[in-house]
Amino acid sequence: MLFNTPQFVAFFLAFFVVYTFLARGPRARLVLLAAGSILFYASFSYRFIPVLVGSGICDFYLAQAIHRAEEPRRKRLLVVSVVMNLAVLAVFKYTDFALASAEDLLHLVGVRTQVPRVGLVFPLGISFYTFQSISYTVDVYRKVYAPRTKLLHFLASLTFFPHLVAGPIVRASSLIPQFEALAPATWAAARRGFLLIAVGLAKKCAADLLGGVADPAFARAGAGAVGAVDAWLGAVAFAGQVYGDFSGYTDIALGTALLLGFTLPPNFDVPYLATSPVDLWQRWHMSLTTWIRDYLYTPLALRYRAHPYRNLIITWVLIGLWHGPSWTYVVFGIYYGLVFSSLHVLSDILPVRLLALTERRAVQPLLVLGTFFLVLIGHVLFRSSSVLGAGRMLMGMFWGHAPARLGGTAAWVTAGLVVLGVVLPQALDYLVVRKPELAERPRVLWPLVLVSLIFAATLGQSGQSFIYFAF
Amino acid sequence: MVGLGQARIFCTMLLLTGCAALAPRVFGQAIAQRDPEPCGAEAARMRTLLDRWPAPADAEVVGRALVIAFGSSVTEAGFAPDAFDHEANARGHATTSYDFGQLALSADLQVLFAARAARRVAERGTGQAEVVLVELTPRTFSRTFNEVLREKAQDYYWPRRALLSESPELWPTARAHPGEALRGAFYHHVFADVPPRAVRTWLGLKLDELTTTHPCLDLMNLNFLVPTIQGELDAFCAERAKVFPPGSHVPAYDPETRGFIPGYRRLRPAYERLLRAIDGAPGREAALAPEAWEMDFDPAAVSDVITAVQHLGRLARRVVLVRYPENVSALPTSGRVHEAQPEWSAICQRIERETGAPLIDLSRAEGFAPRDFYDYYHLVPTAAERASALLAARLPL
Repeated sequence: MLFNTPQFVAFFLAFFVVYTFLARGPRARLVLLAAGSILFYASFSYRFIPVLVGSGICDFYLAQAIHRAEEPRRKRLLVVSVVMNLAVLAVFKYTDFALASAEDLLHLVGVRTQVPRVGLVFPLGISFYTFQSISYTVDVYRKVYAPRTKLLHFLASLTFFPHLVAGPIVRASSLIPQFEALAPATWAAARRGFLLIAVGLAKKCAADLLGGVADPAFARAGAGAVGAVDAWLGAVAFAGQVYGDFSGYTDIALGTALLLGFTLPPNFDVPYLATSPVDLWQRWHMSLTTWIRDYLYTPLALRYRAHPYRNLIITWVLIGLWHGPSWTYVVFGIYYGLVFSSLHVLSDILPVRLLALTERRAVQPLLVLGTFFLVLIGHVLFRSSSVLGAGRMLMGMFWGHAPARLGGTAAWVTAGLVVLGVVLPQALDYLVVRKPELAERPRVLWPLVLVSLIFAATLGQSGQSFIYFAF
Repeated sequence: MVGLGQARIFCTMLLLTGCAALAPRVFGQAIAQRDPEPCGAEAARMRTLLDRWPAPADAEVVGRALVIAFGSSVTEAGFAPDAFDHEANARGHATTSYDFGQLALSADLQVLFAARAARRVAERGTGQAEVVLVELTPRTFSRTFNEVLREKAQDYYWPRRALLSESPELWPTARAHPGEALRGAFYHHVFADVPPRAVRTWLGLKLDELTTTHPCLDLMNLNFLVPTIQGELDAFCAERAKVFPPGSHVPAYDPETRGFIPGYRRLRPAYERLLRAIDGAPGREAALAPEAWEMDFDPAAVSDVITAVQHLGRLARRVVLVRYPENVSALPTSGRVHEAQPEWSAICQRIERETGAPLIDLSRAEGFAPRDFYDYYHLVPTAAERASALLAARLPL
């Protein structure tokens, strides 16, 4: 039941009616929220409901135990919680990757053996809800958040369907209080919800159209040489595709949550206007990067102060691996680790006067373009189906001599449409995130909602899956 | 909790859902989505070709058997209507034949195209097509080949849109809705001034490859190409490019050759010059075997073709399966390809058995030497004339 299908629309309308008009009392509404979310999850795969609910229940009781216990028992309980969550994640997501890598390693040292695979399919959204669960027990351990006494509040917030399968990753401290209050949606919030849903659908539609340019280019690179024009068009189109797809999903998630009276944190903030890679990652998938900062990087940096670059690379490799069990994600992590380390070094060695130049308005467009260029390389590593394919794509971009699929005017037209497909969603994001007072004026909001809906309904393809569902 | 605000939200939700549901009806669905065929651009190309095929004139069909040859580029190159009719006439059978071979078509689509053409013949009041010839070539049953075709359809996403917007069959519906017409006009405007080299289907793009990649042997596999006669190849390609007039992405019907892509026939003089060139270049006649991937047979394609031929059988008086002459001299040394021949023969026999359509097998016909082929499958013009005469002789009319 993807967000961009009539089935989801029907489900949401029915859920809204029952939740808003028929459910009596907070308990009934909480039960309905949890049941509706599990039904939504079951529409993808019912087999993994026990994993989702089971890990949630364990963390709920572990958090209570942590809260009551004294050191060193508190720490041990936290370790149990974290290890349990990571073990679930590792078993489902990384077992076969580890086995395949072990086999490759054995082949490298001359041992010709076939390591059997487990063949597990990983539960949808496991990377998202596992991180959310971990943050709950860690926050309780750090005493920044008192554990809740009602399991239903915790489970309803953990499984809340708008953010269950692809985020944003929400902290318990931000979401559980809303489930305790169960405030109805206001008209102002609902209007913003409608806007976000319509814009999200339009972004998703644009992303799918860009996929028509990006996918063949990466497929071609996966199979052999790719020409420079195709490689650049493919890479830029993917930049638009992945942004439109993920931020579109997030917008729809935020919008549906608003219609039910809940506020989820934003996940994107016009990322392609970033003036540095650091700035970019403060605007892209913000719920993941802040999670990583708070629960991984900061503890690492505090503990191993003498090794800042190693900390950065470890953090980025883990971010890469969070996306999936593949060497391309490892290389993606190493790439960003090196980029961040290099910037770290540069900021240390460059004179302050030179660094101050980057603050000037005239230099900003150059920095935006430079950052986008670095992002494109990262995207190529991220999207390619293999490290070899990524290498071919990069070779194609910088040294490609293979004949182009499109030439002449058709290439220019395609390039223009691709650029439009990248720029327009950013402009929409800018309007919705940075200028809400303008976007939410009725004279702007309703035409924008209608145009976005018509665009998505006429040019979009219902049921096209979201890229981040694979993570 | 329930209040006016909630009711207002719900009503707005219903209203917007209604708008989204109605939008495609008002503004028209995306052209690609409404295309009823499973093969999208290829099917649109076929429809356009059919539209461009004029109804046979009475003089062409009255008292004569109508014979239509369908297939891939193997038919396109290997079937010569004039030679076929001449031989049939000599044997006392008046025929009018057409060459509807098209480059890069999957086997099932070839037969579906044949079915549409046969139905069109019946609808135009010229009676049923007397004989429909259906080509059987291993490559078009290959899983790899068909995947490549599908990938190409995906590759040319924007040109595909342009192609669809130019498909006359879609125009009436496009004009029915202002939004649809606007979109059609947009695509047309964007692509109309694009030279056909850039926008037309993979056929044209393959031509681009021929002219840009040396030694240009991929598709045509001329084999006898030598650098000194590169100019001949350019002439060959230039002639072929003329088939697509500017702004048109499908070839025009050519009454002279009773086919859509007359390149091979028109190139006969160039071919003969090439032939003279190879006479002075010893060792250039090595026969080319098919690639191993061409024998990667797809059972689904076989089943699809059987179903399609059965369907075709209800629309034409007679359906005949044809295997055109093959450049078999290289087979014994071709490993996997050689080993796959019994499997391929079994597939042909299965299609013959399950459809009831007779098979005329010219694949091992005598009198064809390596120089009669561009590659393994494609006959040169002079050999095509001989093969067509042989076909007419074997065809029970």
